Amino acid sequence: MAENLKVSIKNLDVHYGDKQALFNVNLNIMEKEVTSLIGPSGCGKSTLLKCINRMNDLVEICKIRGQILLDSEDINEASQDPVLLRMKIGMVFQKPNPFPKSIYDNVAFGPKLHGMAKSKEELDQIVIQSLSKSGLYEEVKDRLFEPGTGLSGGQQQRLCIARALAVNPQILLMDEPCSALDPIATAKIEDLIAELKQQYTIVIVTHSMQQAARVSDRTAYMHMGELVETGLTKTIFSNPQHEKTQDYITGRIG
Amino acid sequence: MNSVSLRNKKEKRFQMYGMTAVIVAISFLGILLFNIFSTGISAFKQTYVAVNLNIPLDINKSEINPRAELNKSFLKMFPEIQSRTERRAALSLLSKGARYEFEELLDENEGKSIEGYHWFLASADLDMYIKGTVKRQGDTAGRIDENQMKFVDQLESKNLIELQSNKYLLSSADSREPEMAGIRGAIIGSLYSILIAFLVSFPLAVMAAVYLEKIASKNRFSDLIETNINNLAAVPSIVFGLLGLAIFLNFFELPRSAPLVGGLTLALMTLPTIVIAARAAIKSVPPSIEEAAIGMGASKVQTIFGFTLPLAMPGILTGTIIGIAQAIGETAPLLMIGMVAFVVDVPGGPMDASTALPVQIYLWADSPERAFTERTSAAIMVLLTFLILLNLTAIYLRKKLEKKW
Amino acid sequence: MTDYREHIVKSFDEEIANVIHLTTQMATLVEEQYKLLYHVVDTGSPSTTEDILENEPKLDNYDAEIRDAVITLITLRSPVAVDLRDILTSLRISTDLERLGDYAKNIAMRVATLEEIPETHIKNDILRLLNLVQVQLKKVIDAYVSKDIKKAEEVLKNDLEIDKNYNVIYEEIVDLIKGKVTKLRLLTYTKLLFAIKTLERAGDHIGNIAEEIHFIVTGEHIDLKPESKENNLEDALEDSNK
Repeated sequence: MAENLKVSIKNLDVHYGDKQALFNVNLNIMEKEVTSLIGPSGCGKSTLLKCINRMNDLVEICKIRGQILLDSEDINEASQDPVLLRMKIGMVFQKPNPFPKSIYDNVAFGPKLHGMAKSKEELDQIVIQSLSKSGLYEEVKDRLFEPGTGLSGGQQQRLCIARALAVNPQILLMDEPCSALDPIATAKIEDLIAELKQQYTIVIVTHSMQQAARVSDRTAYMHMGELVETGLTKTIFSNPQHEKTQDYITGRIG
Repeated sequence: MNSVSLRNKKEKRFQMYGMTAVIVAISFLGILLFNIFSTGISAFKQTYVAVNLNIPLDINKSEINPRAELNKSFLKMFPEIQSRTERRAALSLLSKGARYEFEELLDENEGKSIEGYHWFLASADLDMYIKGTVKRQGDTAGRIDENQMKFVDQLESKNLIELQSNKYLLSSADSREPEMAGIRGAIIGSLYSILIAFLVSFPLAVMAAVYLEKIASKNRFSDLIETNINNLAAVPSIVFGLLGLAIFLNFFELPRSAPLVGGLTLALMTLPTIVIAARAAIKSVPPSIEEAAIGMGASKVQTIFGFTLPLAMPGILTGTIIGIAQAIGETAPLLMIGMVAFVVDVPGGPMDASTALPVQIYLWADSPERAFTERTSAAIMVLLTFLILLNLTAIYLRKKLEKKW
Repeated sequence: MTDYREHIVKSFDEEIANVIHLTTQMATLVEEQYKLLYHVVDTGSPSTTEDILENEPKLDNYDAEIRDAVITLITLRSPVAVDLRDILTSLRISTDLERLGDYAKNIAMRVATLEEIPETHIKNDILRLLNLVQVQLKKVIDAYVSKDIKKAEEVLKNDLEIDKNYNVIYEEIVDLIKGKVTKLRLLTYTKLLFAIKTLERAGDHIGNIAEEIHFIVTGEHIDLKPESKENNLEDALEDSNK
């Protein structure tokens, strides 16, 4: 487990209009680790996740205060380009959302958009590599030009992961990636995460504590917009510091 | 179990009400269509009279006066004619356009002799009698007097009167003589107008919808704009006609009666319809696709043009075609900008004076001549056909594009 | 009892309570065994020894029940943190209790079959040692039931007492053996040595239970067992050369 600091969130307050969603959140995400965000519904974990790649910019009434440092640079500074940021930070969503295009075009979208390949052969390479990294290549190599929406749920999600990996990000954000999938598809994705963390920093929001326990190196517990506790996963689940954390993970509060 | 059977009876009654409503609506539609169809179908045929010609080879065609020659040949078929009245009666059985047909015949047969019977367009009065629209009463029928009737009977007995397909209806522009009147000018005028209306309103409306839905911030001002656009769609079309008159004709001084002006006015009319349809279509694109694109680093504009618009296209196109179909049938605004003029030429381009289908229907409906009645219905049939085709296109496009995702 | 809030799923609470209940009952039965043992050491009564033997299978039963209950809980409920510590250590405690029950049985068997009656002062010393063990046992059971780490720490500290007492009796008997003894007497003394050794072992296991209780409550391991002669080689060598 590397110990370098990748993302540092400092004193983060987030408001949606008048309603405050995050209160003074301080969190460190370490490089090439899996960090999971857990907590009951409405605790702000998805909001926090979306701050990291500035997806909250899309919501007009969202106001952000505080610092989010990626490799020591504040991502919310006026001089920072969100488009470039989203090349460095990929995102996978709760419901698999492949584009209404072919499997090939789905994966090639990012590299084409950012001009990463100089020739068709290069582009082909990138597509094949990304699909291999997400464990999908063998299953789809004979039907790369069929629509991405024709795949099963688990395959679609792996396609979305391949799509995100194609632009060579440093960080992968996953917002409850398995909640729409059956147990076998879920297991495949968890296995994939274990492999991917050797190369990428991963932050995953999950409703399932067991999944957080299985998959992550560090866990952060959130409750009503506050970050209650963060630490090594095995410590959080065997002997947490805060009573609130223990109550949540043992099923004593919702 | 009483309440259950009561409920069943209620259900059955409700079903019956629904059925009745549908039957009544369809009956009205059926009666309307039947009426139009039965009146208009006869317009597709036209009465022709056979004239015995004898034009030898060696006559210099350019020296022939077609009218005189045709009249001569025709009168030859009735050797008993003595007086001028009788002559006029006989000649009036032929259409004024027959001479042009004769000219064409001469041109086609350059260097050949013309022998035997050839068909020529009959007058509208004769046409009405032959078609049965005007009934015979003794020795007259409508505007056909006893003198003419004599000749008509003669021609009929010799099988020299025939109903052939009306080639004037779809190939000529309007004319004072009903037998030569066609809707080609109106069709072309309508097509130009619609084309211009589409070319102007479609991009403007789609861009406006994109801006309002995706780019503008949602505040009181944008709500105000949305309300106003919705209201514009309900504004009576004649108001747009007045607007067109004031702006395009008076201010910009564009040519009156031109399809360009008609098209621009219709564009103003269809703009709100398309904006509303486009907004609904854009709203219905699942945000997950857009989120995915933005998450990949696409800019807002790239997302809109790469994903949102293509996915919204089925809905936008359907709305557009509905708007266009509405516009094709609009008469009031076109009247205001002067496309009501009596135009005998098929317009060569969008700047030439022209008329439009609904206006043509209006003009013909207004005419006292019997022959125009059937033509009005025929024109309505053509207009309805266009509308049906447009709607079928809308359905087809929607089905085809819906499958994509 | 514990002041932890209830689980949302009440049956989870009931199942954990069941494990603790079973463990407590097993401990109570072990207490009973040592009470009977006191009587055996005091009077050598064979019927009491019979009673102790009859209770053995019940202890084995408890052991099996607790093991099954814990495995089922882990499989079906995926317990974490304090819940997991609760039941896993209850499992370990039941092992200690099973050992303690075994020791009571062994000592009873030995005492009941002694060849000769030992000196009164030896018997009284042994009874005193036995009493200490009983006191420790009661204290540790109380500490388990009320999750009282103060009591658990006391138990750990008092283990030193048991060791001291054991050493005293040990020396006494060794002295007696060093003197003139018949073969039968020697056999008796040997059996007694085994018996008091077992009692000292019992004290160790009770100390283990106290450590488990500490772990349940705090989640941390501590080793509060004081240094005894057994762990100090120098001292031991010194003694043997006396």
